Amino acid sequence: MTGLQVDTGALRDAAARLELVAERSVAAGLRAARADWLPAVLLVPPVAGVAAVAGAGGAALAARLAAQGAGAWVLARRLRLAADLYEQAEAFAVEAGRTAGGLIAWLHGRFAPFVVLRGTMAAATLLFVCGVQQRLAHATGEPLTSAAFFEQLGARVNLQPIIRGLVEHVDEAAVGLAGLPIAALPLLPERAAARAAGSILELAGGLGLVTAAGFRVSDHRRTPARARPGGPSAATLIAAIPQAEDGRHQVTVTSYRTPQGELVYTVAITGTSSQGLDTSQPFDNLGNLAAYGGSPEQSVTAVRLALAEAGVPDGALIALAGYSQGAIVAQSLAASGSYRVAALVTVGTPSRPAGVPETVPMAEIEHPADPIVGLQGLRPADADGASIVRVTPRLDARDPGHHGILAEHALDAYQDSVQRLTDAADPRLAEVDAALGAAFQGAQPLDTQRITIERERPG
Amino acid sequence: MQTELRAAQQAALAECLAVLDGLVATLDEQRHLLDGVAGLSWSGGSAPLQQVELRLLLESVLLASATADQLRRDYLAALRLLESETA
Repeated sequence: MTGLQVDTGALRDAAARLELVAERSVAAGLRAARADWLPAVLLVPPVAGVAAVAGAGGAALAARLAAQGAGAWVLARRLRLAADLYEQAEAFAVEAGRTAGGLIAWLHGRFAPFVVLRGTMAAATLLFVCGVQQRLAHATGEPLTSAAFFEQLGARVNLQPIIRGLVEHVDEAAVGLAGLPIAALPLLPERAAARAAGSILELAGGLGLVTAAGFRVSDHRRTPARARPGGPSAATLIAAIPQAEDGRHQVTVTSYRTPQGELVYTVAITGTSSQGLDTSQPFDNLGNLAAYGGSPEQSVTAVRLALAEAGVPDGALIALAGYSQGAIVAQSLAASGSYRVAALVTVGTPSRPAGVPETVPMAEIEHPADPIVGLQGLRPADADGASIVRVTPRLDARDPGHHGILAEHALDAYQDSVQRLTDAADPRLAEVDAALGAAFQGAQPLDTQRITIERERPG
Repeated sequence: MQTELRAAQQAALAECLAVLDGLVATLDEQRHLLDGVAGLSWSGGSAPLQQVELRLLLESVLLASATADQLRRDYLAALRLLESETA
């Protein structure tokens, strides 16, 4: 109808078969890994020579089968994502084409060569952007401001899967949008969105747009902690996260004393609190870029300072909770090995928990149309060891924070979601709640500290 | 003593061969599945990167099949050696 040359049914069929290949490869790899290819009895003549060579081959075969399974699974995910994108793009293009006849002619003339030259993800990205722009322009009858464009976009489209795809294939999408043939792909130096964020940060530093600065504690309040029956849970940790507003504290630390006399802590970290770059607020977009790019120099350092101010020593037992940028910081602290982490609970996290030890129980709560969560890219089959809890938020139409493209990213919506999950005894939170129960068993709350950190300005 | 060792060696080799037979059958099935995927109408070559990845995957399966075949030949050779010595 629109001249699109893509059979998404074939893509999904291919993905289903690849998933079968992945499943069988993993099972066969496990069988090969468990087999004893060189038992001691074969190390004795006359078969020792032949068996030793064959034994090494058996181990290599197990590794190849495992890698094959992972490769087939990733390819299947990419094909499913491409099919989703095409279908959304086509729906937009058809609707836009009805009111703007020129688009169909444009698609007929241009789209097939785009697909062939620029790859599935790149072409889907182009078509999607074009279709959305056409649709929105004709729905309103006038050019849109960028703010209105994003407001309407957020109301009509779930961007999370699209962003996941773009992050995973950032190189391919960039090639498409830059109008380059897909053959240019190997020329791109970076293949990961996180590394791209690091590169942007380096570039900004090189251009003098960001200044090297330290941090200082600008406010520190301590109040007696309220005793909660049953100790901390995922819901109480998330409820303790400060609202992400410039001028408020960024970190809440509650101290407990265990029956054995040990001091243990819960730490709750806020999200981006200023949209500026290199402001006095450590949780601004400079902090965002740095944390997402894997650098501990900005918001991670600021939170470490807050923990030191609160008297949390290295090696202390802590439970971590974070929202958005604060979730990346919490993941970074859990991966650092500086503390014994009883549990890690995040909401609306834009990053995967890289380097967090397998022994740390993790829960990630995400809203299905929160675009920030899409910045994670695709998750592996084991979800990096985390329990991922997808829950539809209850948004309040009267709340201005619950509108627009970031409506599902609102912290209070996440806090409400986690409370509802807890009230319903959702089993996906059971592991972290059990770990928290064990770590804080019989512990008495002492005090709650609210700490505000500021970036020091040079001069 | 020698007879017992030979019997144990034969049993170990037979066990490895049984695992290999299963792996070869799985790899054959995978090759057919991947051939089927390659044969689907992917919109006239609209996904060049994915097509390349699929070809690499198919080559990996073929290589794994060749490795499994070679292993099977090695273990069979060892088994025949034992049988000839026993005879």
